[in-house]
Amino acid sequence: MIERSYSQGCEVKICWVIALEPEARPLIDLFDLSPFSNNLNFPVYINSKSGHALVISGVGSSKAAAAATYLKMLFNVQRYVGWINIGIAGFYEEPIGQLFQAIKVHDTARKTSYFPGFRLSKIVKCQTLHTVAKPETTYSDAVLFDMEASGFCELASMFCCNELVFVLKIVSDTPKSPVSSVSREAITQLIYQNKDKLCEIISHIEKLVNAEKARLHVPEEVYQYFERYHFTQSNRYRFLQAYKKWKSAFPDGKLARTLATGNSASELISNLESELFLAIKDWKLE
Amino acid sequence: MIDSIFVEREVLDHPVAQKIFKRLKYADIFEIERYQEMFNRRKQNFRIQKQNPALILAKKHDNFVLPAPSGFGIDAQKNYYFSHMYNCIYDCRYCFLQGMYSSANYVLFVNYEDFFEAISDTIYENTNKSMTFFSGYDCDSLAFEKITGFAEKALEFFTNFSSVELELRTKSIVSDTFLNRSPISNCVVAYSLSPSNVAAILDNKAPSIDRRINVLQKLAKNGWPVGLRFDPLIYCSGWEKLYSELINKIFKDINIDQVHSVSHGPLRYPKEMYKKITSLYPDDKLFSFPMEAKDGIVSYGKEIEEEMSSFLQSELEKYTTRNKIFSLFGLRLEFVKFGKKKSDCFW
Repeated sequence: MIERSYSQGCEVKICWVIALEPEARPLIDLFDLSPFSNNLNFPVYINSKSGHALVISGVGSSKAAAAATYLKMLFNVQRYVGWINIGIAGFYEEPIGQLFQAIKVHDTARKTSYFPGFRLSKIVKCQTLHTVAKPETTYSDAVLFDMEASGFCELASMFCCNELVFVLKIVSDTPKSPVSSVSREAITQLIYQNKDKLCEIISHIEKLVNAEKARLHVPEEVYQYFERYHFTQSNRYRFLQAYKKWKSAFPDGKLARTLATGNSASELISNLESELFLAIKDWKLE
Repeated sequence: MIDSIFVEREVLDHPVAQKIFKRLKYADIFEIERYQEMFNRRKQNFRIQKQNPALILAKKHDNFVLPAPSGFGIDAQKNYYFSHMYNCIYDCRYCFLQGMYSSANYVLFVNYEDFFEAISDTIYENTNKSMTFFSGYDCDSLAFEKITGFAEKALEFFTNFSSVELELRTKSIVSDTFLNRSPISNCVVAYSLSPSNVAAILDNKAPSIDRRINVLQKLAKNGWPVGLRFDPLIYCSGWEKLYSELINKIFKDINIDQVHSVSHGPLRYPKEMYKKITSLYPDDKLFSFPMEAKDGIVSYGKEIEEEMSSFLQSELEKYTTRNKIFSLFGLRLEFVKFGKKKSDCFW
């Protein structure tokens, strides 16, 4: 369906799904987020200028999936938006505080694997993550352990392409520093201390989001023709394809002039195509 | 530079995998069960992934050797192809791999021995027939050679089957594998070529045409049979002059006896593949051309195809004999009837 999208008065670019308030607090501060409403099933924060939205899911894979879905529905989040799950994780070795991008997420209960995200390996170390149902205390494999990522990956990758789903984890506990000793304050501090690296990551993700947005963009002038003339869905698609080709071939062309003589969907499409055909002889590749 | 290797648990200890770990010693290694769980996943974004592809090492279990589409080939009675790798390090805008695979990651099948066994079996099943095996349709045959070493093994293998031809299709300028050994008369190194300024726009990350020509001329001088592949032919303003100059440049300094064959073919896609590729690059001028969609195939249209095909044919006949020139123009129309997804874009 090619339909104009309506959002809740703000254009979301990055969606954060975070299990705990102490994990979310540094990001709420960093991106200057405000509570969206006091009457929601999940706490939601937003900065409508920067386009960051954040939901606090609670602990567990199914809650992460539910919260991601909730955020998606609440803001009618578009498919070019980046989704990020960030939080603390157990790891088999020190140091505490190291940030990783999880590029393989394995759900140990369901024995399912996900491969989320464009790999940001030039700026952050990559690692395998196991999502477990209970806090990991044995650290039996050389991987990260969390309790949310698999649920997040399963749902978020339905809302956008797989390359825009990111799982970021900061080591909070290891065999030497067990999970029972991790305090709320320590969690917040671990996120704060990775602030610079996170900003670098976000900057890269925003570039990907902007490029994807440009790729999927349907210009307003296209919708105006959809409103003025009767288009079937199939003709909407044909018109959009012809329009994109025409725009690429004639970036400075005036659509109103090209379509001036068209009085129906098929005539409008034909006008765009005719202009392209006339340009074949002098066709340039750039 | 590859910084991540995903490897099937089953081939972790395979000697080829071990060699690659040593060659890419700075890459992180991640174990997986089967390459398909990652490579065939839905909702991947080829365009984004192409910015930093990972290498997947896997084991191929079947279909090592496949018959080339009926009628395809360079004069042999039987034509087969094999793919030790999926995807390519280059990013040519017209490449059909963008529309064929949902992932831009590279898959390398490390069990080379099984490919060679299957090729042997195929050869013995067709002892009285002339045969050609084609490599380089799901990847570039040589672009990854410094990592894989596959072509070197293939050359060794085909040395023992002098009556059977191997074609290695490439845009790579890797030449050590050939120059460090005596030429093998049944192994053809076939270069994909376009006019310089067309390649400069469309053949992203691939060596320039001048460098490709230098290498192919060097290989020919060293006694290697070379193939020239003008496929796909790209239409643009002044294409006649551009192709004419390209052909002249190649032939003016090459021993014609070493030119094994020359082929040319049109730019064509199955409709769904074209739709997928254009949605990845909606702003690209290559795809804003008003292509013709007919019988499930998208092309420049019969008129342009015929014009380009006959021009190429007459230009090539100035330099080489007709029996060395193969036009894929009519052949592809036949493929359409079979509705074969991949072979419709066999370049």
